[in-house]
Amino acid sequence: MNCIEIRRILKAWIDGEVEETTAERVEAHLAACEACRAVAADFRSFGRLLREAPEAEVARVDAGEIHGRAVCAEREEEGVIRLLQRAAAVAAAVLVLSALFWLMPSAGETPDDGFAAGARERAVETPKGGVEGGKDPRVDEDAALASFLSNLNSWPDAVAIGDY
Amino acid sequence: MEKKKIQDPDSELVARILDGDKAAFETLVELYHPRIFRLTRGIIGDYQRSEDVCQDIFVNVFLKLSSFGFRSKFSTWMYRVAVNAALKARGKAARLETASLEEAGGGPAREDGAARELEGHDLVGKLLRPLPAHLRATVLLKEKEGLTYREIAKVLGCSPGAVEQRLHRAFTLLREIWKDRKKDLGLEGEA
Repeated sequence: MNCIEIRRILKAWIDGEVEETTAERVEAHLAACEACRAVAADFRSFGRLLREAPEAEVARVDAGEIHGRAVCAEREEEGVIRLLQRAAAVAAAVLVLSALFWLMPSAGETPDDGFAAGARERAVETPKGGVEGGKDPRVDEDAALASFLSNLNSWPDAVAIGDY
Repeated sequence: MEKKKIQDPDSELVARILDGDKAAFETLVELYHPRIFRLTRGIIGDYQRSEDVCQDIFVNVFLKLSSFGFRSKFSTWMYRVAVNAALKARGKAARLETASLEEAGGGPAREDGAARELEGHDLVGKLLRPLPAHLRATVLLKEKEGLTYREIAKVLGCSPGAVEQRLHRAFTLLREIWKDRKKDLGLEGEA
């Protein structure tokens, strides 16, 4: 190990944070290198100076006051969470109502009416160059179904399962 | 698999606080305040601001205590909260200082009255002031709080190798600064 490598781990060696084999190498190097010994001595002195220097004056603390502040902060935090929860609930309700509004058919229109009207329209506008000889079989089926549905209302009320 | 919970002298105190014991919280504040204040002051460098930040740290500890899972020592967790808050406050203060310097058109930053008053007694603060805040935090955790590299790594959220590098950089810088200031401090006889 050269001086640069030794100095890189010198502080860790002083703090007892290197493995035994590394420590032995450092010690062997220091025994032979005066410059690195001087750096190690400075690092040691500086560490000691930091540890033993008189402490800066510590501010007085009122633990009860800090507890009071902490409790207030906790209540504020809970208040904010409750507010956010309410806002989320309102937003969800608005979303559900909007979805229902869009899914609901407009006034006076029933799904059956729409279906029957569509089928009738297609029946009227049968394309001449359609499938097999100008007739689209789907149109016939739709028209038949529409006719069946429109006749449903005229069926006698008396028809019941017991009549069969 | 449940993580191993470690033996911690503060765990009973923490459990009591979580149960809503006000006196336990006050004991914790009194127990940790001197250490946390010194650490915060060492990182921030301003007495008044450190006092405010220190109080905020304890309020934060109270609010976040339920997230402490007893997987590390409470003191490590406490130091972590403190160092993060102090570094954040230091960053904010540095930005404000830069802005005020720009407004004033340059010149040295003015120190608050309390800091000037304490200057003569605050040898550690005076020596560490030229170091970047994250190096200052590492040196203080090692030399003043006596943490191991592994514990410092947990507090700072880095590897023990990174702690080793930071301490090497910090001490190399301090050695240069120390050489310049030896005369001022009356330590010419040292090393």
